[in-house]
Amino acid sequence: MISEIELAARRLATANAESEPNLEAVYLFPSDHQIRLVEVDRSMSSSDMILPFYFPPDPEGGIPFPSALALIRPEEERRLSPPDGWGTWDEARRIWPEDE
Amino acid sequence: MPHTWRSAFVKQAEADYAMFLLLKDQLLGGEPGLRCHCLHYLQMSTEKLAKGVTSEMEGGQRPPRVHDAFSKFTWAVKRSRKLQRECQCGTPQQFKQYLDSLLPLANQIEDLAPVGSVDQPNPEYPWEEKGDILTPVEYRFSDDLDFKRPKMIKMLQFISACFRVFGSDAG
Repeated sequence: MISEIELAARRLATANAESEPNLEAVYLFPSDHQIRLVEVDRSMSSSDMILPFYFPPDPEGGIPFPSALALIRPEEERRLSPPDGWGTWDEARRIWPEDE
Repeated sequence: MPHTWRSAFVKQAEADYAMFLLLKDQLLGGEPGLRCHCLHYLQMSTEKLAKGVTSEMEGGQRPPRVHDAFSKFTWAVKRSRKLQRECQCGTPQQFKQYLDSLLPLANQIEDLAPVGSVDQPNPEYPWEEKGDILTPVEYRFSDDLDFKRPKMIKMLQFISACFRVFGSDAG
């Protein structure tokens, strides 16, 4: 059963993908209290770490949970370590694009 | 109430920004020597704001020592619908265009921070350029950093909106 957090995360990922043509994938990292997304965006500058930004809940925008978002380049996917406390890449689920 | 790392950074960013606004009013009132000080406070404010938002609201860790927090922040907040509304952009696409137009200036503000021993124009310390020693108070910074320019006015409106969404008084 898909959790409320994952449902909200999928809404967020889909909305982000609609406005960002350079987006290649969105990963959801596990959490029971916040949406933790890593977005793979080929227009990002390269980096040596994943730097998440933490946003407050936005019930008015349909996101009733706190969210965290980090942007990386395609070649950094699975190469850079997730932020502390986010678990591993193997625990993350790709939520956009959805599998065929 | 004790601070979190986030609230402490954002609070200091707000104080730096208040100082920036004070100095900017005096600069625009005819004190040209204040330009470097204005830019210094603007750079510090945006860096602390961005770093603050890299820490969780509750029990977050100390922000990392990165030099490109503000430009990355400007990228990431494209996804904030709350900030989109605050910036009065009707759609996510409009908000993306709005922020894309501000990114070059965000990079310029970020690059004002003196980095190590590299000699480059900055609003804080003297530097050497082609054998000449230059000082911020006399330096003519890029016209892009002129506070009367439309792009800079738009940037300051964006920063104010960020404080309304992420600031210490944000709901």
